[in-house]
Amino acid sequence: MHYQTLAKLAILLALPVLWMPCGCQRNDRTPQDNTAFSQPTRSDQVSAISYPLFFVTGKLLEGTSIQLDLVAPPANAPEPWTPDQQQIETLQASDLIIANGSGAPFAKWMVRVSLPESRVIQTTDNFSIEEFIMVKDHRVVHQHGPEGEHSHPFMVAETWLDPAMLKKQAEEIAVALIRCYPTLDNQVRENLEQLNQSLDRLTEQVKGIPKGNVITSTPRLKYLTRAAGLQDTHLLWFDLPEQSTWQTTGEKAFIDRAQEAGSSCMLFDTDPPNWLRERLRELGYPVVSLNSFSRGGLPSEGDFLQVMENNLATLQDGLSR
Amino acid sequence: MIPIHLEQLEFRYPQSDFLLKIEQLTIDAGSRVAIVGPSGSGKTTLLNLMAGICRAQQGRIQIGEHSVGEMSDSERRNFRISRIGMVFQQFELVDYLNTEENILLPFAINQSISPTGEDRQYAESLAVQMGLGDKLRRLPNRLSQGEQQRVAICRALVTRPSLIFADEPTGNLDPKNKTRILDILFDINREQGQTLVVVTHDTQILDGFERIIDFQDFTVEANTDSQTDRMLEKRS
Amino acid sequence: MSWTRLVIRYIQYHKLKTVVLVASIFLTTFLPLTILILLGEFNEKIISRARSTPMVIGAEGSPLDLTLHALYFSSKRPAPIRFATVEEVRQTGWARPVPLYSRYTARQFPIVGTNLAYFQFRNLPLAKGESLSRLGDCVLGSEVARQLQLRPGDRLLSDPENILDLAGHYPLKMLVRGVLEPSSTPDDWAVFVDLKTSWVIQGLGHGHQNLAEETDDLKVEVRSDGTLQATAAVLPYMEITDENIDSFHFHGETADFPITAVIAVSPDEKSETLLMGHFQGMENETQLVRPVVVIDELMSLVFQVKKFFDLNAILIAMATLFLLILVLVLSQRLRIREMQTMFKLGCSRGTLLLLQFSEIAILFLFSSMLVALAVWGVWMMAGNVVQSLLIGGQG
Repeated sequence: MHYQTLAKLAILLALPVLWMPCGCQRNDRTPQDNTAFSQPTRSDQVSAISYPLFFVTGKLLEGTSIQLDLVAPPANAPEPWTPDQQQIETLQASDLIIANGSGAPFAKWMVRVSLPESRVIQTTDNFSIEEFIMVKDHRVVHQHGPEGEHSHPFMVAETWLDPAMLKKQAEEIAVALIRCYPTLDNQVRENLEQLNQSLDRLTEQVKGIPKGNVITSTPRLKYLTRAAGLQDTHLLWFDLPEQSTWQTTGEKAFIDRAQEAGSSCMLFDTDPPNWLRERLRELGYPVVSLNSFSRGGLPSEGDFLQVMENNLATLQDGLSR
Repeated sequence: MIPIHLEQLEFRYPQSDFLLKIEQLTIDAGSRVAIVGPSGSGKTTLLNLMAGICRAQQGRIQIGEHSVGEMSDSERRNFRISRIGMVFQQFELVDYLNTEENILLPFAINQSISPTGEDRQYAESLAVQMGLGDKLRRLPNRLSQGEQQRVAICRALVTRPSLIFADEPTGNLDPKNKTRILDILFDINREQGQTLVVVTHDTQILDGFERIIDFQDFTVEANTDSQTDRMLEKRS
Repeated sequence: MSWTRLVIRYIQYHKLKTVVLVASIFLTTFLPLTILILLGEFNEKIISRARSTPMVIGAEGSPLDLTLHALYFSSKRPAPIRFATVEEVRQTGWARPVPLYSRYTARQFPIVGTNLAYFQFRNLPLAKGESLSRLGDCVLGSEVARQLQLRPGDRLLSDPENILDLAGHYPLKMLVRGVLEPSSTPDDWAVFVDLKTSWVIQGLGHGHQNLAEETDDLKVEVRSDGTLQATAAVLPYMEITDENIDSFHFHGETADFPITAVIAVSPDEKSETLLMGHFQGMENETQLVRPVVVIDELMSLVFQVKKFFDLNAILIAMATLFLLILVLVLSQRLRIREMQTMFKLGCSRGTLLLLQFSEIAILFLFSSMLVALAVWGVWMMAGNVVQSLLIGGQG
């Protein structure tokens, strides 16, 4: 090794030493300020995850500049439905996400997306357990994990079909809105008062339905039938019967169940196919179709109150037949 | 070519009984002089005094126009490095320097003289002349003893000195190398006219010298009684 | 040729001696400096992380374990607490809760189940991709992405907790949704998932084929009462895709689901005090700790121990210095003849001293440069080293 080589080596070794104090800096960051986190900024955006809640929230926000979005499957959306990325971003950006309650079947997607939990308002959280309708889905029994053999019981979600329950939910929403937007206090309270009047009227109408027995295609209509004081027997026709299986086993099972119910009023929470409607009519169970807002999306026409009034009129008509 | 003249010289090593006392000694310019005598007789001390390595307590050492005794330490160093070439018995090559670097060592250790291109060429020509042309990059441990002594002679000559002092230059060499080294020293003396002073205890190599100073025949002795010391001179 | 070259040639010639001396100086200075840097880094990082994490709620037990777990997702995790604690904190209105559930790993990096608030709380912007959107998504810390060479759109499999647990948890193949900006914090070394995804990994939630549609007798058994019995042949999905995401569901009450810690962030000191009082006054199995207090205690202990290290380093340095002096003195003795020759040739005593001093100086300079280089390397890597130490050997 020669002198020059050694000198070069020395320079190479010296370079980082010289470089270190002057230019080089590690990517260190200072600790964040928690104030911003504990007092988050507002986007003036609220989302609701079903149409009835959207309707109620919209009524409460009337006269304000808060933007309200509905994130729910459209009426013709195929099952399963999950919000797209843009809708998830809308939800994540919202100051409040108005939801109906954990485990609601119409919003199964909620457990599958990442939401800002602290901003999710579960409007049924203050309901007592007795107020809910729980249905055991005895169709499937399975075993996994530490729990042993079990089937999946589920909570019926369509609480809004009972206007008295929806009124309580509206009050919850109003509280959340006022907490989030304190400046809107008076406006929201005023709107709530007006909304409550509408819902009270609706409650009276429900109570005015003549009493009787009904068969329902699914338990979704149970809040309505309970509020109206009807005796109902529910089927689990979440997926309507196929024509082929109907002829072999379906029809007999239906007749057995219907005879137990002792009713000829067959309520559907959706429009059944013509062949089924026809066959049920032939069997002496004319179909009465109601809108339960189960998919959560916007109704094809009218608003919540109008659809509910239609439902009640249809039901009354069905019962009187 | 410069002569050397010593007069009333007295030297004593500190805390030692040894006393070197020279009343008068002259070495002619350009001459070849051998100083012989048994070990411990003071031959090397005399050489060191003349080279200005040691300083005599008394007396005068005149080399040409320069009085060594009156020089400061640095003057003596500069004088030694520029005017005197030293050759030692053990060659005293620096083991971590190669042949060329050893030859140029006098330049490296004295910042008052820096080698010119001409000096480097001269060093190389000396090496070639001494048969070391193909061994310039070799370290001393890869040279024979004869080669090592030739490197030492090159080192002594590289500053183009007027005097060459050699202390037992053949002491560690075989007969063949002894002859060769002496021939080289004599050739240099003849060709360049430097004064050559060789200290040796080997009486078989004295043939080529013009003058032999024999310490054994002198009354100069290492004696416990320093008062009786004196020195006589013998010309061959 | 100059005197400097003489010195360099001498050093070059005595390679072994040079290497031994340089190594001695290097090790004697490098090791204490490394400890100093790492400890400084450790102190700075841990204090900074503790300061930015006001309160942590977790199971009763070692406050240090809880703190290190909440701050560094350390593998020594505290006992789980109920998810209901998160709601409990929220209900008080005194703090915003951020849940953490770190039990599983993916390629040895901790999987941290949390919610979107965590990224906001830690101020962790995305470098690539998007934030957590759906079940099965994960967002990677920058180091995880770098080391595993993963990008948004790639898949990352969670590690089985126990390879012998054949009937238990199945690894979940997660979708990398985004990669975070580097933050020089433990967040760089973590795989973030939605809390619900970590529960899926645990088996509390799962997806499988629709049994009502399943026609394979091996998978579904029709009972005499008409119900369907799933057999062990029905395996849960190991990957959540667009096709199967709808089949994912959870069993039991979410409130009872496990988490390992809740970070609580209060808007002001009064709320903080009230929340602390709330948890201290309750006779339950949770505790509330203030990381800054816990870490202060830890660091005061660490610095006590460091004093012994310092003393040890001083003693070693002195011993090395004496040995160096001995070696140099002996080597100078071996050079006496060389020095005498140079003196005889006309070298001044000053130059001789310069030659000897320069050798020592060059050795020290060379060693210092090596030390500086190594220390620079340590300094650059200190964050990662401290990180891996704190995470508990992961990563």
